[in-house]
Amino acid sequence: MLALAQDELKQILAHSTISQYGYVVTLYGIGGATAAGAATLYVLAHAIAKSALFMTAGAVTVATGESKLSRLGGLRRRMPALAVASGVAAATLAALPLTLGFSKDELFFAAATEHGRAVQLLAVGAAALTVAYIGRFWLGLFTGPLQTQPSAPVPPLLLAPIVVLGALAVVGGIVVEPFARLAEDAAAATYAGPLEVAPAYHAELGSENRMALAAWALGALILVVPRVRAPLVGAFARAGERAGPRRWYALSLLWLNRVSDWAHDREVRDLRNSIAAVLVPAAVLIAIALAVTPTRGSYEVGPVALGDLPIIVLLGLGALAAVTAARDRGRLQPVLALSVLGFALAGVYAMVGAPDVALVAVLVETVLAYVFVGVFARLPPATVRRPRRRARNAVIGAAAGASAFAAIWGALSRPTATTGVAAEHIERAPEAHGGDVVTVILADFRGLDTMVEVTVLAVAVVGVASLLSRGRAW
Amino acid sequence: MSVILEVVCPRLLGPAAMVAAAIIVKGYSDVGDGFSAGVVVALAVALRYVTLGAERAERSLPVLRHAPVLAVAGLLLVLAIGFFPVAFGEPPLTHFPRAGEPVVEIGALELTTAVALDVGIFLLVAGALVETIHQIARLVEERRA
Repeated sequence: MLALAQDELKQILAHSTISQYGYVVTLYGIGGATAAGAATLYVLAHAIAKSALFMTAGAVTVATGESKLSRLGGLRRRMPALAVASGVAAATLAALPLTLGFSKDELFFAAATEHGRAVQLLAVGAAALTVAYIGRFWLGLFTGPLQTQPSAPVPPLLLAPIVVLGALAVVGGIVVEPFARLAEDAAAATYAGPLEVAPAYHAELGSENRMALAAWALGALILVVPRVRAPLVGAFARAGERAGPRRWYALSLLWLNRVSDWAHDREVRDLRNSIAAVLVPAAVLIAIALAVTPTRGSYEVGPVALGDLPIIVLLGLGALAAVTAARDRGRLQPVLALSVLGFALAGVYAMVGAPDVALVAVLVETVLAYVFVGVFARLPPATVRRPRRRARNAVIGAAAGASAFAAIWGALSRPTATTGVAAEHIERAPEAHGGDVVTVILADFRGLDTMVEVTVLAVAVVGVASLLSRGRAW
Repeated sequence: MSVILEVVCPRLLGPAAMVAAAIIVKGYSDVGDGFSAGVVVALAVALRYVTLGAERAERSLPVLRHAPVLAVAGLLLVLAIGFFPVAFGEPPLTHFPRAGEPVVEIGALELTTAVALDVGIFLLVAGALVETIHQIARLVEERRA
């Protein structure tokens, strides 16, 4: 209905597209084999017709420099080929006989009939409006007095696809078989089962044909009586402005934006807030997860064997280093303490049977120590400002630490997952001539991932090189 | 810079390269892979940069200037290994010899295309990291000058 009120050519067509996809959604909503088949044929016919019409709008605008329906008209004599081709496309959309569109509406009406009187009425109403707005589009463009003189003829390259599409629509109207097969295949995929799409012309006055006749008559009525049309459409459009979905969408977007701005402002005020913005939600989420997951069997303190002593020593060392890193006011000492923590954890990994992780942890830890020392060495001399809100910091830190502790303990106390993909990987590693599962996964089982990752690495280095030295490689 | 550092650090490059080679060779039967080996080499080179400064490090080790070439060669090797099975109508990244077929062994090293892929990753990682180190070091020296 909104398409009836638009003046801009492409907006008419855009509103029409919304409406047409409304049909398709309706058909899927109706459900069943008939509707699924009708929906795919609908998409097919609509694609042909609508692309031809959009190109018509473009061609007319190119030729006249005008894109408003009210300033256009009478182009029939100047562009006869375009008029015929787009007329066929419009007829397809309006579901006139001898076009592919007739079949689409026939199936649409059939599906609606299966579903009762109300859907039937709605379908006829919608089809009538389609006839009306597409008729207004085509008649407005090509009939009546000449409004804007076309300054140039339509280029043949623009005209050709429209003619081809129009011809396709007519061919589809007469020999519907190939299109029906195409739609059948597509519909079988959406319906998850074989079905039959069998449009045909029935000479008798079945309910589909009666609905089609009613739609045409109603559409023509709306079209030729502007006095009925204008106030009706205008009222509808105004109601839409006032309480339509677009207004609600804009309002909700506005409010979402405000909330997001507020949160963002809080977050970026200082580094502490930024970190808290990560830690607090994480802690809350973990707490929620803990509240709703059954934790029986987890969180049990097992016996401590003598052989675990090195691990305990390393963990103790890690804890001490962590405390140092948090408490020390210098720069180098916290970095070194963090490194100690990392190396201690790497040692633990090595002992609990994850030497690959340990190796990578050691390497990453070393690189990080380098980077930290390098960055801190370049910082200006310290102007240590004691942070305010220490109590809040402590609360946030404690909450995050507790939630991380709970999550890690929970994860570690699960039995080792040697099921599923992991087990498969371990089992098949020897087949790939590998002893080390991790390497085999990297180079073989998930080799494509690795390939993409190293490509990304290469691209990143090219980026670094071009940022730091304007593209010189060395 | 203390004398000990200046004497010890440059001499660490050899052992580091050895470790990297060992990591690759053993990679398929034991802990380690091309990535780790590449990082080990890059760390040794970085140590050189830190102790000698960028200019001396590069003068004493002119091989370093081939790092970008090395990285690109590594990438090409990886892509070639990944896609050359496609030429034989196999899915990408099919490794030869296939599962169950005999493998040529040189000591602990088993010659398979998967190992070649690992070598490619090593070249790329080592080359890329050395390149990055070079760029950053150059930037630092320019600031200082």
